[in-house]
Order: sequence, then C-alpha cells, then structure tokens
Amino acid sequence: MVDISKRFGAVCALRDVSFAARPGTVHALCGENGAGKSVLSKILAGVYRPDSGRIEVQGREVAFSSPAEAVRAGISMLYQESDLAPDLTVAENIFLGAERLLGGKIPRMLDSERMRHETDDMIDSHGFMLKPDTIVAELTPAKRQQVEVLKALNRRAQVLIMDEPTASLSPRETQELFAIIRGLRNSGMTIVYISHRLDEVLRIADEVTVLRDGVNVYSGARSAVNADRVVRLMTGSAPEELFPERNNIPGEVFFEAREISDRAGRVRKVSFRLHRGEIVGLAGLVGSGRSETAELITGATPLAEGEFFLDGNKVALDSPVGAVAHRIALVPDDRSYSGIIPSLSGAANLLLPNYRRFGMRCWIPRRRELRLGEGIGRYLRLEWPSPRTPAGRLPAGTMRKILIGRWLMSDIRLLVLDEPTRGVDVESRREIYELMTHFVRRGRTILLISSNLSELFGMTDRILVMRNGRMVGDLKTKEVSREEVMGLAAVDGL
Amino acid sequence: MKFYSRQLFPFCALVFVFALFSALAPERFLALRNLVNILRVSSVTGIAAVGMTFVIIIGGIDLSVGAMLSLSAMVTAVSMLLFSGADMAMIANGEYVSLGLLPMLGGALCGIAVAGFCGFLNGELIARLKIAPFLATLGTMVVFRGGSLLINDGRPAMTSDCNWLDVGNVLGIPAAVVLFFAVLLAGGFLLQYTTFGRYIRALGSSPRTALHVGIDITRLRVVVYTLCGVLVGVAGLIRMSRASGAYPFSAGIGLELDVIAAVLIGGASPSGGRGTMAGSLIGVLLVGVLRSGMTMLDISIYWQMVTVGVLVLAALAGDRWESQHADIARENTGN
Repeated sequence: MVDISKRFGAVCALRDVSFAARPGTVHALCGENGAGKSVLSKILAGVYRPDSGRIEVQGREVAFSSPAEAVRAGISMLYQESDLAPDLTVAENIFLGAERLLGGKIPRMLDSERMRHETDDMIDSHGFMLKPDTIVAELTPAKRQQVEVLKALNRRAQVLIMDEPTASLSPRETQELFAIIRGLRNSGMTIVYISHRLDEVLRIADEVTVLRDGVNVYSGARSAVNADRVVRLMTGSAPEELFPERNNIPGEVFFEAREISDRAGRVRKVSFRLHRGEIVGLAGLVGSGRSETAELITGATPLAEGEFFLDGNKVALDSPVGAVAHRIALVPDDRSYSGIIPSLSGAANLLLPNYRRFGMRCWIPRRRELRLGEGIGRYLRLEWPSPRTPAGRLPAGTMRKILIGRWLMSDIRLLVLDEPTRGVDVESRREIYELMTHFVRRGRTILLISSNLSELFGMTDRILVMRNGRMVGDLKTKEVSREEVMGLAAVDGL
Repeated sequence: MKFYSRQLFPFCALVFVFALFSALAPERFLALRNLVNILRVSSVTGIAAVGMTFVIIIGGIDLSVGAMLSLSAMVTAVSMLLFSGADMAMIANGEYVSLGLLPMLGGALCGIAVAGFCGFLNGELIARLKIAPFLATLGTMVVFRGGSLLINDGRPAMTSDCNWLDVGNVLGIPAAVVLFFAVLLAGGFLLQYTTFGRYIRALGSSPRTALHVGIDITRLRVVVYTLCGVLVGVAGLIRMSRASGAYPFSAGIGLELDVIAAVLIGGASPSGGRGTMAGSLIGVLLVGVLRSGMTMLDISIYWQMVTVGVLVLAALAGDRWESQHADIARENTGN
C-alpha cells in the first residue's frame, strides 16, 4: 500500500500511509484508538475506498470496490465481529459464495456431499476440532474463528487480516490461535495482525508498523523494538504515570454478598464484603464468572440462591431498577455502548439517571439541560463539539467517560465497572482513572472488573480473584504480587 | 437435530387438532370429501405460503399478499373477459361472456405478471429504498387493494367459465392441490439444493456476511419478493377460479395473516435465516384444519380469528424462548 489517504468528513483518518507486508511474515499493526489501523485494514480488505494512493498485490496495482473483490484477489479479513452466517453449518459457511456445483442439467445445484468432504479434509489437515455439519451458532468464538480461517483458506487467501482476534478468547485459546497463525505463516501466508494488546503483538509479530494520528511513524523488524519503544511511538511520549495518587482510608463494611449463585451455574456460592470509600478489583480469566457476579449484584440477572446485605439489612436486588433504588449501578463491559442512547444529545445522556436530582421531574427545560451538560462536560473534560451533539457521534473515549461520569454526580454509592478502559486510548484511560478516584473520595465504593493487571494494581485497595465461578482469593493489593494473583486466577498458568 | 425439532411441536399440534376434530365430529370431519376439501381450500394459502417462506427466511415480511391476490385475480378476470371480446361496459354489468382457452391462458399470465410486478415493487422499495419491509408492504397493501377496486369500480368481474382449476382433477386429486404440492416441492428443492436457497439463508442469517462473500443482496431481495408476488398470482388464479370471478372487496382479506401464521407456525424465524417448506406445509395444514373443523362445529369466524392470532403469538414466543434457551445450553456445554 502506497501513500494511502482517507478522510471521513472533516476528519483525516489516514495521511499518506505506506505499508508493505512480505509473504510468510506476521506483520503487526499497532496504534491507539483512532490512529487509523482499522481504517487502513478495511481499505486493504475492500470495505472502504481510499481517497488517494494505490494498492499493489504481488506487483500488480489493484482497486477494490467491495470486500468480495478483495477476497478474489487473495485478501481476506477476520473482522472483530464474526463474519459467518450463524444459521448455516460449518461447511455451508466455508463454501458460501464459492459453492461446489453438480454441473448437471439443472443449473446451480449444490454438490453438498463434496463440500462436506472437502471441509472434513481441511479440518483434518489443520487438526481442528470441528464437524462440517455443526450449526455455526452453536460454536464458541474461538471455533468460529477457526471456521473463518478455513473459509479464507478455501478462497485461496494469501493475505489474512486479523482485527483484534483475541478480544473474546481465553488465554489458552489465544495460545491455540497463535499456533494456527504460526502454521499459516510457515506455509507462506502474510498475516496482518491488529491489536491493542502490546504483549501479544510483540510475541507473535515478525514485523511491526505503528500508526499515530493517521500517520505511519514506524515500520520495521520486531527485533528492532521493545515494548517501551512501541508505547512511545504510539503515544508520542514516554509512558507516563497513568494512575492518580490515592490516599483514602476505607471505612466500615456496608455491602455484603453471602453465598450468591446464579441459575446458569456460572457463579457458585460467592461471598464478599465491600467497605466505604474502597476500590475493589475483581480479577479472573474470561469466563470465570466476574461479569456474571456483577450482573447479580446489580439485578441484571436473577439470583438462584444467596443473599445481599446493605448496612446490615437484607435486601433483594432483583432488577436493575431495584438496584439503582438501593443506589447500586453497573457500567457493563460493552463495546456497542448499549448504555448510550446515540440519538440523544451528549448532555441528555449525561443527565439520564440524574434528572430528578437536578429538580427536573417532568419537564426538562432545554436550556437548563444544555447549561448543566456544558458545566459537567467541562468538569469531566469531555471532548465534544457541543453538549448538543448526538452521543452516537462522539468519540469512543468520550462515550466511555459519559457512561461513568453520569453516575459520578448521582447518589449511587456502589458503582460496578466492567472493563471500563477496554479499547480506550491512553489519554482517556488516565481521565477515567481520575474519575474513579473522584468517585470514591466521598465514601463511595467501586467494584472494578478488569483483565488488565496493571490497572488492578494501580487502582485498587483490594483484589478479589475468581476462578470457575468461585471466589478463590481476597487479597490486599499492597501485599500481593501479580504472579500470585495470576496463579490464583489460573492454576494452569497463562 | 435442531432442524427437525423446530417442526416437531407444530406437527404434534397438527396431529392433536386433527384428532380433536375427528373425535368431536367423526362423520363430517373425517369424511374423505371434507379432507380433500381442506386441502383444496388450503392450496391458496399454501402457494402464497411458499413465497412467504422465502420472504421470511431473508428476514422480511410481506403484508400486501392479500391485496396483491385480489388485484391479480381482478386483472386475470378482466383480461380474460377482454381477450374474449367483452368490453368494459359488459364487464361492469356482469354480463355472461363465454371464454375461449387462449383468452383464459392469456388472462392467467397477465394476472401472474401483475402480481410478479407488485412483488418486484415491494422488493425495490425494501432493497433499494431501504424502507422497512413491514411499513413498505403496509403501504403497498393499501395501494394494491385500491387498485383492485378501481379496475371495475368496486364491482366484481364474473368469469363463470373459468373454473377448471377448481373442479378439474388429476387422478381424482383436485388440480389446485396438485399445483400446490408441485409449487411446494419446487420451493423445497430451491431452498435445499441450489445456490439460490443457500444464499437466501445466508442473507437472512447475516446480511453483512452475505455481502462480504460477494452475494448481490439487493438483487436477491428483489428476486425473493418478486417470486413471492408470482406465487401470490398463481394463488389468485385458483381463488378466482373457485369463486367463478374476482371480488375485489372480499378476495384475500386477511389472507396475509393466515399465510404469515402458517410460515411462523412452521418454525421459520421472524428474525430470518431459518425456515423450511416442510414446516410451512405443516403450518398451512394446521390453519386449514382449524378453520374447517371450527366452521364444522359452528364456532364463529371471530373465534377462528382469535385462535389463529394466538397461534402466531405462540409460535413467536416459542422462537424467542428457543433462541434464549439455545444460548444458555451453549454456554453450559462450553461447546
């Protein structure tokens, strides 16, 4: 790719970016959110057309007007969201749009038997645990990914673009995926690997390209860089102190969960206590029951057994409405921002749970809403053109800050945050941490669910560890090491 | 296995309802004549249901099929009469006109072509102008009904000679029933054994995926709605033949509900991606048996409406319940 530029309205997403990947290598594309890596890869995959610049495949210039054309030229992309038809079988998906036909008198008749056989052969030769006739909806994300890899191979892909492929995988599945990627590389394929997760990128990549604000700031061998260097390239500065100073002293216990379980068996007899003014981390692998525990506390899913105590009194938290009435709220791990109402203004989204508190019971005076929104926005340092801007058009970091910030001025006293900084750039992360520190200053409490160990160690007073639906550790942050927490979370290690 | 289990419940319901009516009115209900009659009456709903199955599999809906049937029946009847030498005044007065074979064939083709065009129009509105299927076909429903009333100023068009689809038979089986099963088998074949069927299932299951693998989803949508229109035209021909004329006020009133009910009862998912012809057949028969049996037991048409409505809601609730249940089952097995 040479001198690629792309604008969206007034925003220049890419400026004269050149990028070259050789056969038989894993080429990592790094950058913060909004740096342009997704846009670049989508241009390569034919989703967007560049405003200027050219793309060459094996020395020939190409121009794709659709993803299907890119696929025909040997470039396949594994999108963040699965790109399979969930109601079709594995074999049907692998051959979708490239069906084997019987070629008899009736045109376009399917040769299902042959497609099943060929699928079986492909599965065998890669050692996957799949069956051709399984409906894709019944597969785990990791297995769907394997189906997508086979689908790409079946289209004779020479370049495979993977956008955050490990986002929904467990550590073990990530290992398996890396083995698959290495196998593909050794067979001569080019893999363009896009990820936020620096440690993964550095583990798998042969070559690294770093984008910052739509400009290519580094392209070169993996061996020539280390993690610090890449962070500096991505942020344009040294990795600064992310976590604000905190010197609060947690108060007395005010919330207790006693032997709570959910109906699906993903949370089993979990007990813990929370103190006033405390930030408590909840660590564990994906699937350990962390998010499910959060949903139980906040009434999003019903309790199968167990009880909750607030200030020593037994309470039923059987719906989100009930939980908020008890002043407990959840900010879910949520890539599509279902907590945001995209068509309402940023100000309205900020005020959504707080209208009553600001004396707006029925009638909402527009000017007052905007003024309040503006004031709070300045206080939260929100990046928005105006409080009037529909929330759906705001940057990801701003939306995340609205999701957390709206509770900051409410009377909520226990806020459960599920992965609050996933997919957020460094600057917004620091601001989110400041908001959290602010929140607990007046004796309020945060339960922080995170897969990011530095975040847990930087922010919390205490860390609870879950494994397989059970609580396996309750540790003072200052007294444990990362290795201990990891060891508790995963006996079989990472 | 899931493929069959979605039809198991409606099949049991069909058997149960059949047994119930057989027990309540053994002489009349179980009479061969009545059973054949149920099939004959169901053939109109059934042929339209084949088209609707395709539409629902791609995640769409067509509310206009009843009005479309009325319009195509009107066009068929009027063009048969015109081709036989009648003029509009004679048609307006309902005079008897003897119909020749060629005019009948020509009229039938005209009616089917008009219905196909109606379907094409629906498809264009939905696929190209991106109007939500429910609203687009709600609009065209009124347009088509209005059109069918306009043709003869609200009066019916009588075609007493053209009833061979109704009285004619093949080896003792009514021609309409034979036609229904032929259409059903062809539909099942398309769905199961051709790329067309594979692509519409992919489109309904995940439009984005279909687009990415190079399927022209705009064209495919138009084709599916057009096909539905053509089949409604065929159903309209049968309806007209049975009534010996086209009655623009009453023809196809409420048909869309019976057709959608049949397809949903048969296990098609309103969110797209799933549906089979076997299921739709079960749905059509269930609705047919219910209507016939209830009429026989002198249960009012209003109760029949309530029953069909409740059945549709039950099918929809079942679809939701199953999809939620499937999620939980998958998470538990970690499969």
